[in-house]
Amino acid sequence: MRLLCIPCALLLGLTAAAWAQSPPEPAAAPASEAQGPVLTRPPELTTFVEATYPPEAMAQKQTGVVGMELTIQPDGSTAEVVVIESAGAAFDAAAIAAAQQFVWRPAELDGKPGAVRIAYRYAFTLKEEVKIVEKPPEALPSGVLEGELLERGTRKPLIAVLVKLARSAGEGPAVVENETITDAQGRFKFENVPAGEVIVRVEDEVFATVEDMEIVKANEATDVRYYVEREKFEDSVQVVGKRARKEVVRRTLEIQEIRTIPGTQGDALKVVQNLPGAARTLFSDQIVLRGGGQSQAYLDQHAIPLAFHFGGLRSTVSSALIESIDVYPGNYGAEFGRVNGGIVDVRLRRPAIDGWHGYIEVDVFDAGALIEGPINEDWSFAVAARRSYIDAILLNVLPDEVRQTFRTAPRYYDAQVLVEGHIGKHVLKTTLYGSSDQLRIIFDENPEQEDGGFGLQQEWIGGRVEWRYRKDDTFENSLSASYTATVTDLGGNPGLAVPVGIDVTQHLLTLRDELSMKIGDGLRLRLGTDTIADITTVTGRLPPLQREGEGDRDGPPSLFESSFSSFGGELTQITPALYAILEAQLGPVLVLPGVRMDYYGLSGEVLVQPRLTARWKVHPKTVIKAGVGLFGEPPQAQDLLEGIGNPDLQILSSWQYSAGFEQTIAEGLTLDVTGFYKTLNNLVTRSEDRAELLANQGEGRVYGMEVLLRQTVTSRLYGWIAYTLMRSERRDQPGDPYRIFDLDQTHNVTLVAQYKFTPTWEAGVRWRYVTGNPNTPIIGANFDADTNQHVPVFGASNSTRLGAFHQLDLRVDKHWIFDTWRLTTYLEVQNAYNRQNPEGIEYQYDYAASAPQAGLPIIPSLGIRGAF
Amino acid sequence: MLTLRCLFCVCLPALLTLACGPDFDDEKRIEGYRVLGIQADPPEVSPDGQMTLTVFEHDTEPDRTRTYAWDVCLLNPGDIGGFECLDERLEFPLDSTGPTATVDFGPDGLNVRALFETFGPVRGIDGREITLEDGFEVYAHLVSSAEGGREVSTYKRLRIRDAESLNRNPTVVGVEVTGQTEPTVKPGQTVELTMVVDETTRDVRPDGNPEVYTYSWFAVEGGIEDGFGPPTAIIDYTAPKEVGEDLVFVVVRDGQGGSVLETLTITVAE
Repeated sequence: MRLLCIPCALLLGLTAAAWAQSPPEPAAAPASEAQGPVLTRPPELTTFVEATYPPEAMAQKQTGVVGMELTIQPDGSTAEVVVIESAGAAFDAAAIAAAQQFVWRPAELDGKPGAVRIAYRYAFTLKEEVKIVEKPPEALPSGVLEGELLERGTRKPLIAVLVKLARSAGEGPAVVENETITDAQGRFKFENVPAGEVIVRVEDEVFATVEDMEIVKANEATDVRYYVEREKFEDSVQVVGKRARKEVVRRTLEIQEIRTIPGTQGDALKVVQNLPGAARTLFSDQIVLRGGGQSQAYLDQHAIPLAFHFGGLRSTVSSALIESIDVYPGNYGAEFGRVNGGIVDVRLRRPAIDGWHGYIEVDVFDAGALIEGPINEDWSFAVAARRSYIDAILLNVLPDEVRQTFRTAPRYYDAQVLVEGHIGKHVLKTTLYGSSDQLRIIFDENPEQEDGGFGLQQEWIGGRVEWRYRKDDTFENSLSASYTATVTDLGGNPGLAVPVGIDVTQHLLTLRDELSMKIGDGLRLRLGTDTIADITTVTGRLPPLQREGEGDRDGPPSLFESSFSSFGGELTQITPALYAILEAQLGPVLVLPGVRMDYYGLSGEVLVQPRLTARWKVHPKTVIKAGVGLFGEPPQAQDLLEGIGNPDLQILSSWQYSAGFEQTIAEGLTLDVTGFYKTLNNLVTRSEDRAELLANQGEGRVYGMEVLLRQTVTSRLYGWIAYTLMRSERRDQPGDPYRIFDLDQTHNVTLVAQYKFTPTWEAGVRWRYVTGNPNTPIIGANFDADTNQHVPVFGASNSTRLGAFHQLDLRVDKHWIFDTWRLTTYLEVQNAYNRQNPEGIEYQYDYAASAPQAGLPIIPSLGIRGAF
Repeated sequence: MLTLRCLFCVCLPALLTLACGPDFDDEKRIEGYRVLGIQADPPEVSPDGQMTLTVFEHDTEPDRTRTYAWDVCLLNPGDIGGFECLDERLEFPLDSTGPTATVDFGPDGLNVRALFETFGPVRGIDGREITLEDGFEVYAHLVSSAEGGREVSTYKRLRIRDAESLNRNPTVVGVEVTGQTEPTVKPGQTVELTMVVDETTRDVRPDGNPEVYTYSWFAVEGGIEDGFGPPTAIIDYTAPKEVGEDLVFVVVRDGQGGSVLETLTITVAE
C-alpha cells in the first residue's frame, strides 16, 4: 500500500490557532497493482473544528505543527487520525481531537464516494505572533484583489494553497498584512486592500514559491492569475477504499504507469505482453494468456473486433483516453465468458470536466490529436483522432520494384468520441469509435492480370451507451449496450491462376446489465446478463489454412486450384448469458461463489459454468488466494463454415485452477505469486474423417507459475519484474502423446523500470528474456510440378525450439513546461544492443538450406507531444 | 471473429523483408541437377485413357548418370498431407527407370473404373464425394537424382474425367529476345525476353473463363528479373559477363495440369 504524503500547506490564521487543509489533488495512480479506482474528485473540508490550544503551551508561548494522516470515509467523516509528525503530546492530542470532528465532502473514486487517506498538518500559533490584518483607514481608498492559481503546464487549479498579501516596506522584507487559501477552483480573494502596490506571495511545499507585485486600484477589483510550477512529484491523496480485488489475479495497469514504457511508443495496450502469463508474440494483437485458449479485448466490458492496427503496430483506441487496463490471465469472474484464455478490459476515463484540454502528438508511425472539455457542469466530452503516415515512409525507403507495386501503401485511421454526464446518482456515458486499415498492392507489369493485385481493407465502427445508477452502497445498476460493424476485404488476384481472398461483414450487438445489491452484513449479490448477437456474412476462396501445431510453411501455400476451397454463408449466433456472483466477506476471508450460464445459439448448447474464488487475508500484508472454475468458448467462426470447416462443432471448455499469495514487502512494493493449471477440452483439430474436416477431438493442458514483483508509482521510481514459468501442451487426436503448444515459452521474464530524475526529465528501461518458440523442423521437401513450388516435409510437430529472445529497450522523456501547455519529446531505442532475435527460420526455395530469421534490429524513434 | 491474421501477417513482413533475406541460391538459376516440372500428355484423360509422363529437367553436369523411379497414387491428399499416399493398396509403381513413363488407367492398366466400384463412394480431401463425371485427381511421383547428388522428389497431379472435352497442354511458338530476330546479346547486357504462346490451344476453365497461363523462368548462367509478383510472359534477362552460350528455360502451365517446356539458347558475344 502506498502512502502519498504531501505535507500540506501550513496556514496561519487570524485566530489563536490556525488550520491547514490538505490539498486534495488527485492521486497520480492508485497504490498497488490490481487496485483500480481513480480519484475523480478530491475531498473538501466542509466543517473545520478549531483545536483547543494547550493551556501550558499557551502560557509558555509555545507553538507547534502536528503532521497527521487522516482517513476520510465515504460518508465524509474522519475515521482514523494518525500522528506522523509530533509536536509534543499536548499539541498532538489537541490536533487529533479536532481532526476527528472534521467533516468532509467525501472524495470520489471513479465518480463514487470512496475512502481516501490524506496528509494534514495542524499548526498551533499564538495570536501575538500573527500579523493581524490592519484594516485600512476608512479614509484611505481601497480595492479588491482576487485571482486564481493554476499548475503550470496543466492548468489544473491549485487547491488549498496559501496566498499571502503584503505591502512593501521600503528596502526591508515585505510585511504580511493578510493571507488566505485557495478554494476548490484555485481562486482566492482579498477585500479592502489599500490602493497601491502590494506583494502577492504564494507558498506551498509542492509548488514553487511565487512572489509578484500587483497594483490595486481604488474601488476596483483586480483579477490576477498565476501559473505555478510543480517542484515535487508526490501526490497528496492516497486511495484507501480501493476497488476490492476479488479475482485470484487481476492486474491493473494505470495509464500513468505505462505510457512511457520503452518499446511501446506510448501505446498502453502493448504493455499487456509484459505481464506475467502473457506470451510474447511477434504481433502484438495476438493476446495469448496462460498458454492458450482464445483471449478477448474489451472496451469497458464490451468486446471490440480489433484492438490493434495492422497486426499490432498501434492500438485502435487512443491511449490518452484510457484510464486503466485490467488483465485477467485466467480464473476470472462470472461476468466474463466465451473465452478460455484471458481477458483484457480497457477502461476509458471520464473526459475532462475542469476545463478545455487537448494535445497534438507526432511520432514515427502516426499523428494524433485530442480535444476535451466540459459541456456544462455535469457533462463533458472528448474527441480523439489519429492517422498514420507509414505509407509515406515506406514509399521512400522501399526498393523501387516494391514501391511501384503499392496502389495504397499501408495506412490506418482511428477516431473516438466520448460524452459523459454525471447527474446526481446517475452516470450516462456514450462512446463512438471507428478504425480503418488499408493496403493495396498491384502488379501492373502483368498484362494478363488486369485485376491483379492483393489488398486488405479492414474497417470497423461502433458505439456504446451506458447508464449507471448508484442509489447508495446497497444498490447499484449498470446497463450498457454496444454495436459494432466490421468489414474485412482481404485478398485479390495476385497474378495467380485463381483469385484468393475472403470478405467478411460482421454485426455485433452486445447488451450487458449488472445489478449489485447488499443483501446482508458482508454479503453482496451481483446478478447480470451478458448477451451477444453476432451476424457474420462470409464469402471467400482460400487454400487450406494452417492450424496450430502444423508448423510454419514459410511461404505461400500451394496455389493449385484443386487445393482451394470456396465457401460462403451467414452465421447468426445469439449467445445470451446469465450470471450470479455472491460476495461474502467472512471476517478476513472473501469468498465469491458464482455461476454463469451461456446458451450458444449455433450449436444449441447450454453451458453452466460454476466458478469459485477465495481470498484470505492472513496478515495485514499477506493474502492467500485460490480459484477454480469452468469456462467455455465457441469455435472460431471460420471453423464453422461449410467447405472449410464443420458447422456441427461444439463448445470448447476449460477447467481452470489457480492458487497463490500476495505479499506487501514494503510501502508500494508487492509480490504476487500464482500457480495455475488448466485443461482445454474439445479443441478443434483436423479430423481423420474427411467428410467433416474438423472435429472437437483435441485436448490441452497448461500449468505453471506467475510471479510479479511490483513497485508502484512513488515519487521517482516505479516498475516491475514479471516472470512466468509455464508448460502448455496439446494433443490433436485422442491417444496421441502430448506435444507442446505453438507459443509454449518455458521462461518469460520482463523487467520494467521508470525513473523521474527531475520534473522535466525521466527515463525508462525494459528488458525481456523469453525461451525460444517451438518449431516444427522441415526434414525434406517435395517439388510440386503443377505449381513450381517445393512443399516441405515436416518433422514431429514443435519438436525443436528457436533460440532464446532477449531485448533491451530504452527511453528518455523530456518535458518543457510553459504556463498553459506542456511540450514533451521522447527518444526511444528498441533493441538497444541490436540482438538478432530468431523469430523463425528462413529456407531456400527448395528447403535444402536454412537460416535463422532475425527479428527487428535496433530502432531509434522520436516522438513529440504538445498538451494543454 | 474470423482470424485473418495468419493471412495478412504473411504478406506484410514478406514485403518489408524482400530486400534483406539470407544469401540463398537463386531459385531462377540452375545449378547442378534440377527438376523443372513434369508434363502429362495429355494432362487430362478419360478413365480408360493413357498418359505419357515426361520430366522437365536439366543438369549442368550433363554427363552424370541419372536414376528415375516412378509411381502413381490414386488417393493422395496433395500438399496438405505432404503427398503421402493414404492407402498402400492404391499405390502403383510404374514400369520405367527413365525420364519418361506411361500410365494406363484403363482395364489393362490401373483399371480406375473397377477401383471406383470396389471402394464405393470416394471422398476427396474436401470431403465431397468424387464421381468420374466430375473428375478427380491422382498423383504421379518421381524420385530422380544425378550421380553424386541428392534425390529430388517430384509430384504431379493427373486429372481423370469422364467427359468429351478434356484439357490439353499449352502449345508455344517460342521464346524470343524482344525486338531481335536472333538471340544474341552482349556480356552483361539486359534484354527483354518474351514467351509467345499459341492461343489456339488455350482452353476454357470449368468456370467458363479462359485458362490463365503462368510462366516459370530459369537460366543456367544469366540472371532472370521478373519484378515483384508472379512471373509473367515477359521478363528481363541479364546475360553473363563472359562470352559463350547460355540456356534459358520456360515452363508454361495452364493451371489445370497442362504444361509445356520451352528452351532458348542465347549467344553471348561482344
